[in-house]
Amino acid sequence: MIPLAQSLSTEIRLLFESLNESNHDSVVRELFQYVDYGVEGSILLLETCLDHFKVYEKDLTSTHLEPLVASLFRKLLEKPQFSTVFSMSVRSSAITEEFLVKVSAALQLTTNEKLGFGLALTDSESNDIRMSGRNFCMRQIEELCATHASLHTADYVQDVLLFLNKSEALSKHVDSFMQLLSLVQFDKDSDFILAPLLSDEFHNSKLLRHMDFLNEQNENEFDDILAQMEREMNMADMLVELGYKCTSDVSLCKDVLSSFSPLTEVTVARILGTIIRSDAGLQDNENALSTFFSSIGRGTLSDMSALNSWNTDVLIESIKQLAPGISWTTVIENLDHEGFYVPDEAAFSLLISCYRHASQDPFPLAAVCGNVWRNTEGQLSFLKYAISVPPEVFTFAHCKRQLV
Amino acid sequence: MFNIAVMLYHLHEYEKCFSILENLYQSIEPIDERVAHHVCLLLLDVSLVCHHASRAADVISYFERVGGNNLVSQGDSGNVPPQQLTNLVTKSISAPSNVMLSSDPINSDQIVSTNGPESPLSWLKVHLYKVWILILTRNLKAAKREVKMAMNIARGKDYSLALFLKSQLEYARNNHRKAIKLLMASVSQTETGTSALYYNNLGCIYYQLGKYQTSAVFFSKALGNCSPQRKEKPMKLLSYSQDKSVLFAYNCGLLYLASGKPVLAVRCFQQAGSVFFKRPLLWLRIAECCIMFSEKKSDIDVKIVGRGKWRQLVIEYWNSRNMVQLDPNLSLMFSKSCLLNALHLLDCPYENLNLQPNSNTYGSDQLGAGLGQVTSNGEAKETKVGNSSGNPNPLLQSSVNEYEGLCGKENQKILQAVLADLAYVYLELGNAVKALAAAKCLLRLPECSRVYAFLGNIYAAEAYCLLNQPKLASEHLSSFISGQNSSNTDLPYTQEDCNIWQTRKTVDLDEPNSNNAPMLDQALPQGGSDSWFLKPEEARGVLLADMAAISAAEGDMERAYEAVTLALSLLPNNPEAVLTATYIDLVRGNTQGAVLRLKQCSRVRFLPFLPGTLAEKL
Repeated sequence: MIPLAQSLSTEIRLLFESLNESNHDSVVRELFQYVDYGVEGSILLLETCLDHFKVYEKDLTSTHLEPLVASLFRKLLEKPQFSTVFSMSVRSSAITEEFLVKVSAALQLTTNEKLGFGLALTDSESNDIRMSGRNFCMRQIEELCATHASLHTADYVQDVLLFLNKSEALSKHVDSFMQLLSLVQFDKDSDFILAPLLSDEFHNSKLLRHMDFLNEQNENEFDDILAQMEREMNMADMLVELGYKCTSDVSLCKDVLSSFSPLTEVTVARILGTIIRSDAGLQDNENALSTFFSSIGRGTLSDMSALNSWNTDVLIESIKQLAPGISWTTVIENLDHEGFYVPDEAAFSLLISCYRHASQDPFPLAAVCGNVWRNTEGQLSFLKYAISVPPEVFTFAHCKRQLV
Repeated sequence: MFNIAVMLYHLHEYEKCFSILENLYQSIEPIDERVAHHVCLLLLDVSLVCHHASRAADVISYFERVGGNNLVSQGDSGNVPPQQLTNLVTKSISAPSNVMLSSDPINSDQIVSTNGPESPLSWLKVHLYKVWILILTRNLKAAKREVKMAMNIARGKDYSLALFLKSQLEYARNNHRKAIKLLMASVSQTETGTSALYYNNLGCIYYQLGKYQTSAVFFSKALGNCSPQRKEKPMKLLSYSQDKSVLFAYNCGLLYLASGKPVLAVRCFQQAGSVFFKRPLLWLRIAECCIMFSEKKSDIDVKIVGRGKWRQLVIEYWNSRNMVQLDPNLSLMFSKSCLLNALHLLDCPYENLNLQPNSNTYGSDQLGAGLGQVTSNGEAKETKVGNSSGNPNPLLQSSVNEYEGLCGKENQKILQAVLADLAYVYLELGNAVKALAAAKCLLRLPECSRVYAFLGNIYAAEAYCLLNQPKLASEHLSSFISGQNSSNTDLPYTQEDCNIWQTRKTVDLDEPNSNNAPMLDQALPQGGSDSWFLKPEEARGVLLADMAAISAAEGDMERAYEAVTLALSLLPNNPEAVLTATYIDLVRGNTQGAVLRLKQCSRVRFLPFLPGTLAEKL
């Protein structure tokens, strides 16, 4: 990267110099690209801008570069890394408040942009930049308050408020700034962010206005969230949390499985993927299942003998009864999901025995070796055991494409 | 004034309600006795909701001073004057930090009026409030005794409140099975109105047990239970008040954050924001959601350009990825704003950081970060409490004092997390100047823990790297290096340092990242047994990777190679360490080795090249 810097800044300079009316758009586009190159690109761009700026300082009005520099500067100002870019670009020259005033006047920044410019400098490492940024900001805020100019956007409002709260000397402006704010209609998001910063009186005035439309919105948002929560529910993890007892008998297992989302191939694949990894060692300290049943008001369960592994026969039988039309080939295809992994041979055998129990068809080989899965690790773990286990567990004999 | 306060209470505007009642309470003497009584009860409720433990303790002692007769006479006044609310409170404290919303239908007027002139019941109420305060202030031993007394008084009558609180107490003592049992016992006696609270509390308990799916089921039931009240038209004040969805939303958010679903979590937190916007922890959590979301996309994409002999591998420059953020509510910019809010609420002016160790300054609107209760604290207090059981005020007072100390400490922790996150976010945004300021501020904290000191130094070093000052960067790292050899590093912190955080269970998601913006997948806790931080070994790996990057930037390839090899042995799948190693290999002219490294890393994806993207050629 470092050797590139020299040639890039030459490139930028060339672009500046080549600017004329016919190539204006393409040059602008190319220059804007540097901003998207991140910090380094932006620094080079700003340095070159500032250089040009000094050259034309005495005769600002006559240069056709002026609007271009201004729009580049604006673009940079929007970026979150502006304060770094700025302090890196100007490190050689001394920054004074006067300089800031000149720059922003020459670039015809709006009051709002000036504010953002000043604020960006207030955290600088260099004392000079910090102080002049601070004073510059103060001036802008005073001006804003004095002229009662309205703020058109909520940009920088948070920064301004935090800035004003920083010291005693500044906090005297808070009230007048608040008054300005009360005239502004913020959108929902900025309202949210600003909530803790605004004064109580401010809140009171907004409260009623808020009440009316808040309810409508809230109501829908909660319904959305609720729907989303239901979609996020993961049957497979739920089974693990409830423990092996879910598979004690078919009616109970059906009860558990049917209490949530409908059983689809995707869900079943996830259930299979999960149970083969948890076939031993699940703890059931809280007697989770019966507690769960009674707490959702399904009555108490009679005592069941403790299980220490999944009863897959019961599980598969329940799935078949609940979802008779399910395609087991599709289930196997859906094993390609995030988190699927065959840890050992026992898990592999369990998976295959589940499939045998569920379906009479030969194992759908195309699903596991027909294409590369998104979860390649999972696929490899499957194939590894598919090859190594004895043929009575898993066989490739029915494969359509055989080596001759 | 009182009526306004009641309205605000129902609208979940607790802080505002509190400040009005505060004023009334200051001049309580001239107020009519009955009104005064109601003011006090509501103030008690509100101060508990807002965690103003000391005010609540004051009110309790006021009740005790005014004496039992008053309580009885209050009990007699079954007919409440119209200007006083018919239905004072069906309430729920929600403690955003403690997942548990202690739902607590301590309901002044209802109980008083339905149960007529029996004075014991009023005393019961006072007892229950005391239990509540004690749980809030985490004086669990005393709370247990108080609950027992309350149960004795309540014998044969309405147990459910006492059971509800007792369940909460067991929850606070991490005795989750018992908490479930008590909770279920309480609900069988309670009317249906509290079922949402019941589900919510079950959700909290299961969350603590690490059973996130079950917990989600209960939270969704709790929210679903509130939906008829939400939908009621026209809106009635009472049904608005009974709709605790906003409070449950915080819990849901925390649950989804912990289960690694930041998109949903952030929506929940935003709903909760309408009530909890004064709490720094809420803002920290939202920021964590954004950070988590931005981390999801941190795999290395290697583009394959050309064919055969001319085939080349191109790696995209990381910075350009971060520029595009689709969802404004999950962007790092948004998270920056949230963190700044948290900082503001923590009262930390981040330039002239004047943090007194004296935590009382944080007194009021802060909340505890600890999810788990510190039982040792309860035990410590036991000795002081021992002989004062006849006169409970000193007990409450000492609990309150302890609690305020605790809050201060917790705020310190939140502050550390906020500053570290802020430094991280600024780094990710490419704003090294601000990142440096945040990191330095973190390092200046007098009580900065070793884990965060490590993070602070790492972030500061990275910021200096971005500012092209590798010298200063290595100064920050050098504190972790022992001896001359740069590869000879100790563990930057020990497992115990992590454990300090764990027992208090302050969720934290940020992590060290090195010069090239590395990020490590961080396992979130499952049942609290895994570390939420980088393991010390991994932290050492990150440190070494950083040093490798710095050495590489200074041109010392030998040292860089040495450090990165060690780093990779500790963090084989860290994308940034792999990239650094690849770079070093290339500079050393070992092209084959570089390609091999990329192939070996499971987080590298090889993709066909799509024209039009900026690339850094390797």
